[in-house]
Amino acid sequence: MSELKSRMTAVAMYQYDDIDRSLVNQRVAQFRGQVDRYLNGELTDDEFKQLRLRNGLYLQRHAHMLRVAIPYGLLSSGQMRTLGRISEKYDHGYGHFTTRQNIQYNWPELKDVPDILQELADVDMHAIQTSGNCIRNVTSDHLAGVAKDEIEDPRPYCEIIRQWSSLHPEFSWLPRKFKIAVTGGERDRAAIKFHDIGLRVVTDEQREPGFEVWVGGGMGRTPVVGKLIRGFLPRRHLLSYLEAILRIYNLLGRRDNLHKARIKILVNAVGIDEFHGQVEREWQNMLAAGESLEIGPAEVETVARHFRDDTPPDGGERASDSSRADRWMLDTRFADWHRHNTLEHKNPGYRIVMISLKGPGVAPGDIRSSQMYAVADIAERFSRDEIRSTHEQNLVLAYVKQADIVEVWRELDKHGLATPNIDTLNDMICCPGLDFCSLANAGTINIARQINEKFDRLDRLYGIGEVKLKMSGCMNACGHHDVGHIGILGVDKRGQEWYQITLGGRADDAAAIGKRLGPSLPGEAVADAIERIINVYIGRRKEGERFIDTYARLGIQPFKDQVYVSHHKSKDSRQSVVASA
Amino acid sequence: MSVIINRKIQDNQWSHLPDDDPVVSGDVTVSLGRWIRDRESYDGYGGRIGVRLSPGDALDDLVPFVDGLGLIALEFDKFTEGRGYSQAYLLRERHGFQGEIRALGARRDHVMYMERCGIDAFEPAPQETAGQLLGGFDEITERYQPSHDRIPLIFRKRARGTRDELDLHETSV
Ligand code: SF4
Repeated sequence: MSELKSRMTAVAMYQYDDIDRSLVNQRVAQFRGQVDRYLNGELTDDEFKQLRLRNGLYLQRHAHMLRVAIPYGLLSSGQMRTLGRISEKYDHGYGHFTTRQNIQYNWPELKDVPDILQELADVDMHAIQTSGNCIRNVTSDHLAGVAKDEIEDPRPYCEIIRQWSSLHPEFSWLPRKFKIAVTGGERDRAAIKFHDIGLRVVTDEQREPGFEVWVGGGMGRTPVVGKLIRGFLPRRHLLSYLEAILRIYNLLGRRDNLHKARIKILVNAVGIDEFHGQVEREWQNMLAAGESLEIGPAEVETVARHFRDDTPPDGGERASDSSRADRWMLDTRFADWHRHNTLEHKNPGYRIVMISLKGPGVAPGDIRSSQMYAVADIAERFSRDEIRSTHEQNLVLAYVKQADIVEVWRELDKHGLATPNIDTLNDMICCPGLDFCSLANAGTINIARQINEKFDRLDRLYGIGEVKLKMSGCMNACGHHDVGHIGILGVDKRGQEWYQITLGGRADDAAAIGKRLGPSLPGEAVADAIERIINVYIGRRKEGERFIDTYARLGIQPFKDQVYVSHHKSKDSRQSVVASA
Repeated sequence: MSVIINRKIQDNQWSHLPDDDPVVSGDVTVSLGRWIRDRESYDGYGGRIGVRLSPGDALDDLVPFVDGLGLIALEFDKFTEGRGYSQAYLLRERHGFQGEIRALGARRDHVMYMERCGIDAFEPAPQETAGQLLGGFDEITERYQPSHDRIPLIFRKRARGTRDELDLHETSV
């Protein structure tokens, strides 16, 4: 029956079978029981906290926050409609897409959460392991399966890891959270070097499929670029190797200090060579015992078949007909959008459409329920029923026929979803900050708005070109500020909200952690500082140089000089800026 | 106090001796450190001797001797303690220990995971009873991955199913 259903639908995504469905339903019933036991006083606040976190439920500044898993960012239209309905029924009519490709609701009531989880389970979704010290939702390349530079679609491996790690009996109580990312492209769009484990799909000389394995990367209090632990891991051993790493970490990772508990601290403490040795010994022991975790072609196929692209490369008759779009290029609004918000598809009949969730006056990543319904409808009509969320907090329609592109733009535009600012300075990543998060030092949404207002002219934004601006309200780095070309970090200074700027971070293959520009700045000075930084770039860039390239050539000093030297350039006032910081 | 052994409620036979209490009679567990130090002095003891492992204890010291032990007890002193799961798995799968592995301080919300890793006996934490623990084993019966319970990896299970289906399909064409 479920087989029949999956053959009928056009969505190329993993389809639950009876086992998956029964698991999420049992999980909802279990959580309902845990809520009851908590309300009856059988579980303490601390105990219940651990259980609710493992079901995505936080207690935040004003209310509960529920984080729903969107495995590697892939959603069907039907699932998106459910997300919209939940936001209307149980929340304030909007949701927030996160940097881990999930969605968060900021206002659910505890008593409603089991019902919300049930509504999710009814459309094959859940909130399992979206928080807590366990293996979290696996993230991936948002262009998986449609990117031109792809070696292999990483999503089947993400799904295999998702299932293997779900309710893992041995690794559900780790020293700290554990994040895995997989990329299959030549260019890394999943920031694999900033994850506890990062995997890149590769093939060896015999064309055997496998993975490059990176370990111990991460952002936060101690940002670290991951280290290569294995240049080539044959595909069939994926799960046993992950298990070996997790076992060593589970036993040896620190549990006495929250801030020293991530695997990156363990890897740094013992050294990558020693860590590698321990993992390999454990792994060899596992292999010698007969590998119960081996995934051969038949096992991989049980998952991979769901993602198979059966569309004709040219998109079918008249799909690649761009004559209408060509005519519309005379409309600069469409032309801007087409240039900035659509990408080349691996197949010539299609384009990839990016939906910006960074419209003016909107907190980055936020989306209203009406917009969720609209996106669902548009995806159903024009993009194989499929929607993706990105770690840059935007959405993607990955299968839009060239011939439909004008129609898709008009529909998106109607709903305020066609802001043509992808990859510009205003396409910033931003965590919820002080407005919602109880850990925050400072607000982020207000700063984002100030920057947006300062750079409100599109021609100016386009003139600046690609800048990855990323902002977090505290050093937990949910907004990935460590890897922003420009990073902004909220800090607490004697009870005041201040901001630390970093430059030169990047999450791509040239992974680097941003350098501190200088002393932190008060909120009202941040947008101005960003403008000065941009002006240095504009003034000194060479032909074709992106911001990050100019930074790499010049180093931090010229930027520093401009931000910290006062308008009058007097030595005294310069000192006074620094002193007051 | 009642404990659970192989999912059955039973009377507890064991006492867990602090390091400065003498080993006098009955079935007792001692800490790993004490056992390493005094191991030979227990030769000829009338009752059974078991060893208690703290979460931070390395198994290596114990491994050569596991066969003779009446019980290995794993301490779960915090709700979030997770090392015991790997200790249990390794004792069973790597070191072949077949005797009783007992979780001390077990909670209802943990026993399902513990049992899958190879723990077969459970002493409830003070705030719960053995009867309450029993409710935790089967809340979720679907399992994706093998542990000590040797559940087949879900993709294997499905691959077998798919193959049957494919064969069927091919013969019918
Ligand atoms: S970075 Fe800090 S403030 Fe922002 S969401 Fe994460 S924990 Fe909260």
